[in-house]
Amino acid sequence: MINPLGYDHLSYIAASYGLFAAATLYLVLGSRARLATVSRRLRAADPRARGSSAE
Amino acid sequence: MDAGARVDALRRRFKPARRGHSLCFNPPPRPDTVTDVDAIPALAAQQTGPRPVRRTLHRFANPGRFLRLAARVQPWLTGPALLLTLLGLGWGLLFSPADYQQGDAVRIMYVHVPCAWLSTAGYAGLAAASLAALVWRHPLADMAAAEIGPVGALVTALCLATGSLWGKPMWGAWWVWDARLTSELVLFFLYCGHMMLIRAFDDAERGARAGAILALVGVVNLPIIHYSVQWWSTLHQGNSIGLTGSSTMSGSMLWPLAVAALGTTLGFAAIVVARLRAAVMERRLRGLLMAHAESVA
Repeated sequence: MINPLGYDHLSYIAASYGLFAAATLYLVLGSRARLATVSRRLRAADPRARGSSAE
Repeated sequence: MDAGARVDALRRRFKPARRGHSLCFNPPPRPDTVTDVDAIPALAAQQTGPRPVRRTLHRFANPGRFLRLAARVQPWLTGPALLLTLLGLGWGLLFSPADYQQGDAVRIMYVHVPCAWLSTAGYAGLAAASLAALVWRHPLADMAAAEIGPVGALVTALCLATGSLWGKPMWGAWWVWDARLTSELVLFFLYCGHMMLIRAFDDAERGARAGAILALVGVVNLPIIHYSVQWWSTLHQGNSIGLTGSSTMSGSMLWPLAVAALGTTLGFAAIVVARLRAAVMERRLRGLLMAHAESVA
């Protein structure tokens, strides 16, 4: 296994940081996508919402 | 299905807001109605001077005001969260020393401890929102509790998974039924139970109330998690960080951990605020669609 830092237990460390990164990406991208979708639908449904700072 | 039946179906699915909040999430006002107390000069004049806590809470519970405030606050949470999390994790992963007993596996701590902290702090936030929903009938509180739940559950799962990844090389086991691990697992089940319970009723209000009660009952688990390593003999190590200067950890490990914990806490808040903004907008959208369906009917 490639181990440039020479760490012992590298696979456990990599798995921990990888899980954290995956969960963070899931939460951040998921919330951004949800926000973008509902903003778009709200603008389409309510002409008064266009240009509003709420979105 | 004809238009009238569609309106009835929508009414059943999305009941109007509760007594006292009917102005908050309903469809946008007609020109002859007013939804904001501040827009009525006589009422606004009555609100001068010290306001009761409840009124102040409700003032900030106005969805429009919340959306404006949240849109302004969000970048100030997201930017520092990203910066501090990357700084703390990078510092811990690359520049902090290895532990004399655990070796490099101690670097898992910089992910595991912030997740553990957030799992309990998030539950405390969930319980506080539930309390506000039950006692003050705060219009945004139910929504806040519903949005904290999934994020808290994921963070708790992450805490359990990274703990397991840390436990295997150190203890030789992925899992042991000691008090700290078991109480953290119970916390995960509480989060999951809350998420399921609020969706288990046809009447969303009853679901929210049942979930709030469960969340408040589950608070008893928080001190159990914290003191489990003192009350019982556990394989999990004892507390090595104290807020009163009683930390037994070296500063070279404590600082990156503190930075990572602060960054992830801000990140948790940013994600919850984003989800809450989306939830408020979704409710507003449902109101608009219902109003449109009524006008067609």
